[in-house]
Formats: sequence, C-alpha cells, structure tokens
Amino acid sequence: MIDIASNVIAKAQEGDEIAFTQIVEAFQTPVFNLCYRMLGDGKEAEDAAQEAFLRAHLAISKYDSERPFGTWLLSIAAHFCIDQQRKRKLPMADIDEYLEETAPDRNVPNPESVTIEKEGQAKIQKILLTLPDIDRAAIILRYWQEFSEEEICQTLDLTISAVKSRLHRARHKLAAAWESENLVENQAERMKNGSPAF
Amino acid sequence: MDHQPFEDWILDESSINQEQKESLSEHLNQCTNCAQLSYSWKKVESELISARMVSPNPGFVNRFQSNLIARKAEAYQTQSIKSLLIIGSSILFVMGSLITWLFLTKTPGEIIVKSVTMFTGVTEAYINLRYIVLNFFSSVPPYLPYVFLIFTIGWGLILLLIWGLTIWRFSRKGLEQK
Repeated sequence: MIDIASNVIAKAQEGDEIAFTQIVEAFQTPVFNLCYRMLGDGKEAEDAAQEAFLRAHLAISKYDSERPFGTWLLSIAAHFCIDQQRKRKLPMADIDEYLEETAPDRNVPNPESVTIEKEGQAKIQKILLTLPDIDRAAIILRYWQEFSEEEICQTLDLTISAVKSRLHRARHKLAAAWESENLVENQAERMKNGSPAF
Repeated sequence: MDHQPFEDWILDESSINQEQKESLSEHLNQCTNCAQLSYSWKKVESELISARMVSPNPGFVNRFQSNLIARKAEAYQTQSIKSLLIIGSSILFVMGSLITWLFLTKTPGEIIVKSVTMFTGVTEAYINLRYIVLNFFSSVPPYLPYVFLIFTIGWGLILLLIWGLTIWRFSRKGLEQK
C-alpha cells in the first residue's frame, strides 16, 4: 500500500491545498482502480474517484491519524461505489475498449501474450461484476490493494469473521463463474468449428 | 460426499499441515466437484494476482482541482441562497405575525388613526431633530468643524494603518508556510 508522510496529511488537515494535491497524486491510481473494478466502467470510475477525493477533502479534518490513511481513503471510495451500485442496476463493462485506452506502453509487446492477458483480465473483470457489492469490494481490497483481513474489516466496517466468510463466499462464486464462462466459451468454440449437420 | 473441510482448505488462505494436504489430495482424486473447484480457483487466483492496477487518464489531479473549485463555488452559492431564504422568511414571518396581530386586535379605523399618528409623530421628531442639529452648528465656535474633520481623518488613517498591517501579516505568514 502507498504510504504518505504524516506531515503531508497534517498539513492537508490544516487546509493546505498543496498537501491535499500531493495526496491526490499519490493515491489516484489505487482509488481509481478500486472504483473501476467496482463499477466496471471508465467514465463512472473517473467520476466516482473524483467524488471520493472531494469527500475526503471535506472530511479530512475528522481523519483519525491513528488509522492508516490508505484504509480511510479507500473506505470512502468503496462506500461511495457501493452506494452508487445500490442506486441503480450495474451495466456490463466494455473492458476491452478501456484496457486498450489506458494500457501502458510496453517496449517489446508479444501480441499473443498480450491478447491472452487481455482476455484473462476481461474475463476476470466480467466475473468480478457478478459478485455482490461488498464481496466484490473485499476481493478488490485483498488482491489489488493487498490488504490484510484486518485492514479489509477496517475499510468496509465489517467484523473479521464477516470478512472471512465474505471472502470465502466470493472465491467460491468466482471459481464457479470462471468455470461456467469457460464452459460457454468451449461450447461456442465447438459450435464454430463443428459442422452444422451434426 | 462431505466437501466441507476440503472446500475451506481450497478457498481459504490459512495454511494446512502435511496430513491435511495428503487428505485433500486424496479427496481431490475422488471428488470431481472439489477437483473442478480447486482447478478453477487456482486459475482465478492467478489472474487476480497478476491483474494490474488500472490508472486514470492523464490530468486526473488537474481535473480534481477544477472540480474542487467548482464544488466550493457551488457550496458558497448554496450557503448564500440558504442564508437569504432564512433571513427573508424570518422577515416575512415577523411581518406576517405583526400584521395578523394588528388585524386581530384592532379595528381598521384604529389602525388608520394609529398609522396617521405615528407618521405625524415621526415627521415631527425629524423636524425637531433637524432644528436641534442646525441650532447646534450655528452656535459652535467656527474652528470646531475643522477639529471634527481632523479627528475623523486621524481615526481613518489609524484604522487604515491597522488594516494594512493585518493584510501584510497574513500575506507574510502565508509565504512562511510555503
């Protein structure tokens, strides 16, 4: 997890805009990634990440420095995304297009491995969106932010046993969704290669 | 078939001992459901571990700063409108209460008489005050207006100096913070 100097946070709490800008610079990727993985759409993720930082700016004077700053900030973003999803039905994401737009330039790209990686990532995002909101947030925090179960429970305001059971349930669902995705793909592949007469 | 401890061992991160590993391996050879779950979860886990962070488009911080300015302006405007509405509705409430009270306790004739009396009283008070002020200025020594002028300008200069010092102090403090 990204660390930020405590004096920068203290300055931001006193109303120093430059210090808060440093925080935005440092945390823009984890916050955006969380919103993107939660919402599955680049435009909505941008809006959600901006809103999360605006809310953090408004509430930073109340931030308790005993708590890790990252969990506090990501907690705001996660709760905002969960609220957003409760307000409306989640549309499916056009992940291929977005990954293409935001993919960093690699000097020696291997087209085959890039395609496989993109397919895998698109599939993972697709099956991630099948999870309930809080379970999805727990998985994102665990695997992208590398949060411990303790940190996840702080971020999502859950008990440790609730985090454990949500992670267990989410893993089970992801494995099942992965299996059914592969099944559908294999069937489609067989139909494409097979003769219509059979 | 009972899958329970095996599912936990497959999906949870807690480490298992050698005996449990052997038991799991034996179970996976017999149970296709758990074997499929184990295979799928390993695939998903490897994808999750290798998944990269998605970054926002360039200029995120600049967009945040613009949004912050817009949000502050919006908050200021909302606060101003709220204050105006509160003051306006308070004035309307007080006026309404007074008018209602007046119409409930007095007859229209009494209200007209009271209004005329009040208007006459105010006019009379204004005429009297004007007379007193004019009388006062005609009886004061000729140098007194100049003294008054100097006194006013003096205080004005002192207040201007204090204001300038305050501005200078704040701007200097701001620079020191940077």
